[in-house]
Amino acid sequence: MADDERLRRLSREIFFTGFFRASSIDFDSWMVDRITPRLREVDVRAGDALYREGDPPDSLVLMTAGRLRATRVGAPSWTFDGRWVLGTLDLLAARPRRQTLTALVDTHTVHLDAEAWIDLLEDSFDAARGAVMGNARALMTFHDRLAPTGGFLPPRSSSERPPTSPLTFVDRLASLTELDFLRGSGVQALADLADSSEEIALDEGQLVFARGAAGGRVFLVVEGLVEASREGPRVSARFGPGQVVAGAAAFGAWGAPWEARAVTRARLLSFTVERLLDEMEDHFDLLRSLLTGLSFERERLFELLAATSEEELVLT
Amino acid sequence: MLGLARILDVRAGERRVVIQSFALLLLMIAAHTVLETARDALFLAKLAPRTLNVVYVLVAGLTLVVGSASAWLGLRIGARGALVATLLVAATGSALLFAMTATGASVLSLYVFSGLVGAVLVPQFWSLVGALFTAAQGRRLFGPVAAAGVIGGVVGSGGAALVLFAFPVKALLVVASFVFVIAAGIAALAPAGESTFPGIAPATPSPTRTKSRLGALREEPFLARIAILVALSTAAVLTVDYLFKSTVARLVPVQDLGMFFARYYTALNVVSLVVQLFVGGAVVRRLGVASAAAVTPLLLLLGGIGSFIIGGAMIAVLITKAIDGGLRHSIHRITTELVYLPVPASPRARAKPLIDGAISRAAQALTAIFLLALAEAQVASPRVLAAIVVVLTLAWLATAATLRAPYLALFRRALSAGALDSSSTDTELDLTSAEALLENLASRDPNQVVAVMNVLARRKRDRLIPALVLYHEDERVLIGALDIFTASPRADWIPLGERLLAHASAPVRIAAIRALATHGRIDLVAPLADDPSSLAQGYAALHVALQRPEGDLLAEQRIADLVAQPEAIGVDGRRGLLTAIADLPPTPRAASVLLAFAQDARLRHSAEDVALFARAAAKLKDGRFIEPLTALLEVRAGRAAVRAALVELGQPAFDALASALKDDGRPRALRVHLPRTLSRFATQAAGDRLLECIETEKDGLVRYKAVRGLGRLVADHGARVDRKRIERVIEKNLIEHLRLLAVLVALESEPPPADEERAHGAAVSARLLRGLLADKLRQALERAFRLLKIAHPSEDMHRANAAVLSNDKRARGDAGEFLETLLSGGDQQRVRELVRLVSDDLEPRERIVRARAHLPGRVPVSHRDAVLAMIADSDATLSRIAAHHAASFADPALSAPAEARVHG
Repeated sequence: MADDERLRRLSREIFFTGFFRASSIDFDSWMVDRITPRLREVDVRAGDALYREGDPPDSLVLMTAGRLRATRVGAPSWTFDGRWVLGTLDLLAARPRRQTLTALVDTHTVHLDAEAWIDLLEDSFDAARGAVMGNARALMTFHDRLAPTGGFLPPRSSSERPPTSPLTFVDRLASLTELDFLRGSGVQALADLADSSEEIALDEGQLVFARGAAGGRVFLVVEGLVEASREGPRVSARFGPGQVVAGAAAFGAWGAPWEARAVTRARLLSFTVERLLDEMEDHFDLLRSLLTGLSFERERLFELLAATSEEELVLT
Repeated sequence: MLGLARILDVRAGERRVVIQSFALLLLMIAAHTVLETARDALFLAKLAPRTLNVVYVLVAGLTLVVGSASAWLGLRIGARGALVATLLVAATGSALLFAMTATGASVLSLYVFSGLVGAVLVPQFWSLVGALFTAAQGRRLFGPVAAAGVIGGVVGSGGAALVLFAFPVKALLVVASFVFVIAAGIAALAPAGESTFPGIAPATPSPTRTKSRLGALREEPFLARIAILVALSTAAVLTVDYLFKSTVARLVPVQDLGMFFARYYTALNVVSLVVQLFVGGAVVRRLGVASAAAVTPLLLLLGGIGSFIIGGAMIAVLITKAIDGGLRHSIHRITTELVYLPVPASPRARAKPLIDGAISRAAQALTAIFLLALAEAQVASPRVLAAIVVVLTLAWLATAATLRAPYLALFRRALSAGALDSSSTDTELDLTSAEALLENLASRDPNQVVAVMNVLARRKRDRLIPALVLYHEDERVLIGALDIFTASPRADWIPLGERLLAHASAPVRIAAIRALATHGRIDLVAPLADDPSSLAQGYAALHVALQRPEGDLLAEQRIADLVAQPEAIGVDGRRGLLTAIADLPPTPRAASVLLAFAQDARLRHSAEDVALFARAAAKLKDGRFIEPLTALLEVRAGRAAVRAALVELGQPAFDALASALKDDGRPRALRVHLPRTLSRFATQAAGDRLLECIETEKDGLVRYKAVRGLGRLVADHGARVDRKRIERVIEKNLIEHLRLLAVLVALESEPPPADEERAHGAAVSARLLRGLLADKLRQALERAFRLLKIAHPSEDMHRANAAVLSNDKRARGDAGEFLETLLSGGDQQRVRELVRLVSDDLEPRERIVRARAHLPGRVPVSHRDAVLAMIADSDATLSRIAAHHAASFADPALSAPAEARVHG
């Protein structure tokens, strides 16, 4: 191997392991060996585009420093500053690039080819778990920035036909397949989750969970309305059928600051995040659909933040 | 027409192009056969057979020029345009030759002209067709299309015979001219040379037009192999032709030559047609392209040997020529065209005119010169000619027999197009690299500093990490460095490490304690019993207890409290104790403490605790830990460390795990993790147990995990597997895939009416059933491909699987052809057929119809059949949802089994 190539390889390896180490993810040697050749270092000058709207999504962009602006015709733009992984949703959703990404200052980036990234998630559950948790945690901070509403989607109207009581296995499974965050998942993966989920029936005003008591569990509204709130900053929102109480933050087990109460008679399904992780370990499609769901939500919140900001949104 | 299309396996969307190609080839060959009949009769009536060799040389020399012009024209105006132009030239030339008086010079011109037309037209036609079809389509459709050539030959020679009853030989030139014009009209209506089938990426060569044709052969060595094949086959069939014609000229009166050729060629073409329709396709399908390419030379070799033995008797020569005529336009043509298909479009487009035109004609010229020399030397006896046929066909056969490996390699490459080579691993460091790394140790980003230290440690160059790094201000760097020093034999860092025992950060102090204790500095640990961190206290407590020479450690109150009542000191104290045991050299006295931990359910709550426990148990190598460790496999947290510990415990652990895998009374949550754990033992015995599990296990998820475990064993440790056993399991999975597809197709049939109250429920459960069946279909296929990878570890089955599932028909075709060639063994026919069934481009219903012979029991055809099949399925989830679905209909045939399922 030529000296230059060896140095480039070392540089990529250091970047890759250092980048993920910052998220407390350490890769096995074989994984580092497999991924390093599939990284590409790209130095962009201020004003240069890394990719353009409509381009095929062939890689992820990793950066540790610098400023990149994401723009789209007819939509507000925003700027990424510092350490980011960009372009995940385009890859996961297999759609053309939705935005143009342009460097505002000279920036060092590393591109990880799309297929290698999917392999990485499939073969390293720690990396996959880190990606889920990182996304969920990021969403919570964006909801906080959108206080007091949190920017959650408004509750859907109750289903026309309330499911049977108690919920059958098929009802539970059908409810899980309706959940936005798991929509791309296979039925097989959700079947075990449906089996282990717990049905909760509440009267109006009853507590779903007290502040500090929700950590580690996901609550899915099947029927009725639930209001969740937190302090510091104060955020309050209502959730209806097909929605997760307190939003995607629940998947990161970050629900501790929240409290939730039934606004009407309500029925919910609940399962532990640990159980979900177990299922994801066995069913990659479940992991992929959850990551896609979280990424869509992140994009929606960016757009909401950008639309409501008086100055251009800078994400750090 | 539809029935014929079905018999010939022409599918929706393909019919128009196939009919056009068929008609075009039929007319081209018919016209050319008429031209050849006139040519042969006029030539042999006017000139001696030995003149043929002069003509061969002339034709060959001119073909080099005309072939180049044809290739240039093809790149300039496209394959279709070049073909139309050549057909019009052929029509005009034939008409002009008719107008000329039949002299020696004119019949010579006719022979040369006919030879040039034949040399250019056929490659041009196949270039056009090759760009229109994928490899999989080619395998199916080149046979029927090539049959047009045979039929064209029959029609042409039969028509010529009829014409000769009423008209002189020269009239055939007018007939040929007329048919060429009609063919040109059809060619003009054909697609322009890019795929017209939806989902097939065009295989156009435009970006490399300026590259040389000879360069294409260097670029793709497989093309050079095809060139050798074509050259040898051309030389062989030319010698056969010369042997045949010289024998006929010797034994048939001149006045009967026209009728003899017309009749013989008619008979020959009938034979060829029979072979084409009933034998050719089956041979190619059964043997695969690479093996079928050896059929023609093999039979010609036998004919040559027969002619040699009999000494050129008419019957032997006629049979040899019949083999040539019977196979040349069927099996030989199909296989020669198919072997081009995996070659990338650009070099193929550049090389094909060169190979099929110039190289073929050059081979013809050289052979002709050689034969002429033999004739001039009066040694071209039938026996000598037969001997030459034997030599040439032997060489041809040898070349054909070596096609398989490079042919497969081309498909491998086509399937992996765009993939990066990730196989190279460079773990060496030269001076420049080491300097660059050390520079990076000065980075302001602590994560980068840790990454650099890990890079050095990974390459066993941790000695390059300066001990001074322990002065770093960031605790992540300090902990990272101490972790590396813990595992390193070096001791120069110890004095600097000691000062970290007083560091403000508890995790740094703990890391320092661990590193120092591991290096034997127990004396520095004991004083930390009063450290503010309960983790440090727990760690120190063990070392304090160990200073007492005898006795059960659990009898020590401090230790007992840490194990049983962590609340008193803090849960970190308990972890500190576990950490200390894990860091110790093997100490049997610690076993009782560890066993106490094993009996405590709280151990499972922390990945870190589980990992520490596993590491400690592994060090002690005590069989009493096998069962607790096995039980911990149920817990995701710390599973990797538990697996490593079980491997450390050796054969007794392996036996216990293998036994647990067989025991379906053990919890499923445990059993699903046993295959991957067994695979970590990296032994042949592990491979054998996993294969047994794949063959006999009832639980699909456990089987799947066993497939993955065995896959890793084969890929990483070269475990050997019995290919036949694996292929039987592949067959099972492919049959399961097709069975599920049949259920899914039947489920889409018209359901019985559901009552209004239940209609919504029926729609929901039907959606779930479709989703679940789709999952299971995909899984069965994925398993089959994972097993294929186990049976053929050096092949990239992941990409083949992705290609089979993709919407790109060309990629699917490449994958199908690759797999069929790979599975070409005599004992692989069933698995090959099944792979073809799942990879072929077919509508689901059609796939099921073709798969019927392989499917067990009665194939469901109605919605009711499908629901009943699912209720009876061994998959509990599928069965439950199906029973729920059945209850939505007022159908007693469904409700009774549904009730039985619910209550059973």
